[in-house]
Amino acid sequence: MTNPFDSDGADPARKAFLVLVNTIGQHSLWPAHLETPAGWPVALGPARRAECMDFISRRPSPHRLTTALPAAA
Amino acid sequence: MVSTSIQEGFAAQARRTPDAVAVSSDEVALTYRELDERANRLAHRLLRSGVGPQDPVAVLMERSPDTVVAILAALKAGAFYLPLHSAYPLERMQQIMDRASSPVLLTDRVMSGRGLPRTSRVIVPATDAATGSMPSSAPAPDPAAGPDSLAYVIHTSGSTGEPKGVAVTHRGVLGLVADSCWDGEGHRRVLSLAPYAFGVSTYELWVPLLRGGHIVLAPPGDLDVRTVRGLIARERVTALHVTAGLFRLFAQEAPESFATVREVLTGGDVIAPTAVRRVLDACPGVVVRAMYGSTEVSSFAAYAEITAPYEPTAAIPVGRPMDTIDARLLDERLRPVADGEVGELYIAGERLARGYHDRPELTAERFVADPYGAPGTRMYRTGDLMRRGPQGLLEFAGRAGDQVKIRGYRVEPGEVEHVLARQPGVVHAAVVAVRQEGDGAGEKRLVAYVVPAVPGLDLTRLKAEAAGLLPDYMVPTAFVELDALPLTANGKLDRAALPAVAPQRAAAPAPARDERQVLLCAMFSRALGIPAVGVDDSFFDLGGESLQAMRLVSRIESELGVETTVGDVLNHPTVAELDRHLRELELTAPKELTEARR
Repeated sequence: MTNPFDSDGADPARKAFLVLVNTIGQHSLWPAHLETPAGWPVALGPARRAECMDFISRRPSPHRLTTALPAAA
Repeated sequence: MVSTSIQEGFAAQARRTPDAVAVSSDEVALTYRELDERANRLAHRLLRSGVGPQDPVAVLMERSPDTVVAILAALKAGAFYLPLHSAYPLERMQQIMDRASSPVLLTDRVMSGRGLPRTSRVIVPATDAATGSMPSSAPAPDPAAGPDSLAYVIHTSGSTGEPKGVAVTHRGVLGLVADSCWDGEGHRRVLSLAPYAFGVSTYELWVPLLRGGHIVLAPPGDLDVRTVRGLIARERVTALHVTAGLFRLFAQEAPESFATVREVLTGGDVIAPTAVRRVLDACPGVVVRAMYGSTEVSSFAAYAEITAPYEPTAAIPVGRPMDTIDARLLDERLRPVADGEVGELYIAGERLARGYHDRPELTAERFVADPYGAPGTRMYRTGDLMRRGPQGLLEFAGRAGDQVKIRGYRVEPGEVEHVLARQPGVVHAAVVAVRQEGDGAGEKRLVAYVVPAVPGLDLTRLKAEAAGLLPDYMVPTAFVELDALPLTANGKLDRAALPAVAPQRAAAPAPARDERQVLLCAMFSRALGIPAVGVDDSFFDLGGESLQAMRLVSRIESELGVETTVGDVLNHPTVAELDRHLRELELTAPKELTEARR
């Protein structure tokens, strides 16, 4: 079974990804061919996986936002 | 009683049971009040030296009550702890310290004697005069601190050639501690064996300390079956966690060791059903709890409880998720799979780590948007394939990625490949995990295949270079030189086409010279899973590691009646040398020796 978050290059439809972002600035890689979950608007894409990873690595890190995180469901 | 931080939970417990023992070693016992006061002093000292809210505080210490004080003090100062593994080579520690912007380092005399990474400030709490003069009252808590503050960052192997720091929150740890599986009297006296830089330390530290229990610390350094068995009996240990490899060793050598405990936890790798059976046959009153988890979900996430009578049929199941673990098995389009179908395990809920410290892109590919949770929440993709079997128990069905477990540690072969490929003279490197034979059957070891720029690479030197850069469990035990790496049609490494590895040894095995050497050769052979061992073959060249050394020590004790240590084996790695050493041991007064080794 292949994971939709890993690009294997074999299937052209699976090469495209999105970058999603939630209200507290956390990012998620997302396969472009799947519906996006609620609360996660698109910040970039569709784009190649490497472009998405590069985009995220250059965003300001949310890791100091210690007070604003909502309780996970 | 709902705490919003670990230190608050600890303080509440210290008020309830101030005079109960919180932690003890062979030499020292600290009550809850004493531990609280010591940690308060060190916390004030950390604040005085400029540690701020949510700064890292690195800890590199031997296993001792002082380590528990140091870790608790970091939290009381509003910081998070960054444990360094004493098995890390200095360069890896340096890499971690540099990435964390040179934090304060708490250490002790033994570790500083071995060499410390460079950083902004080093404090040895045991001998630090300034710490002693600080107030013993708790420092004022940081008003911004809450359950989503970081508690610790623990490093695991990463495929990019650098270790990944998993940033775990107070909420995650408190969620683990509050789980109903720890209710009752089973976890009153918990033996602590794991390195505190290993995710299992979350259980060993905080389950007892936040529930009024007692941490029994094993002595520092390498442990052997005899020491652990002695501790269990002498300290009336009620529960402990041992790695799957150590569990198997106990099952083979001394399964009755657990007869007096309530629970043995094991995990981190495939648990052998036959080993569980041997333990339960010898200790019918014990609960064996097979644990599944990862640092990314604040340690354990699921477990299977196994009790006598146990008849091994299939593999040990992963079991049922813990109370606040939201486990989902999803297919390639992230749809839930039907019961019995294989899917990848995704975990949501309060136990998720914040992510990989300062690596947002790695975080974003593993902690992904959750289509089934509240809007804007995440789930962690474990990379483990599972199915839901009878009674809803999760069963392991393979790995989706390349990650492997070596001696219970997660290793990304890609990280080892990166390190090897950076060494002079190496063009390509491939690292694969292979299963061992013999007594250790089922355990894995790493084999490196390297393509040199010029044929005739010095593989011994390459191994030594790797040992200087990687933790010992990540250093391949065998190195093979190839002209080229075999590739599949897609250009990926063709694992099946890699040659099998014969252990490296000097020419033909040198024959044993007397009966004891014959016995020792046979013990080496069984412990290492190698058909013929010569008296001059090195334990290390034959793929030996600490677990095999422990196995040898047990065998030597039971078959030759000589008490020896893991250190003896590692310092005398051939049959001939070990034989000579054992002879010397016997010539000295045996009683004196036992004393000297304590």
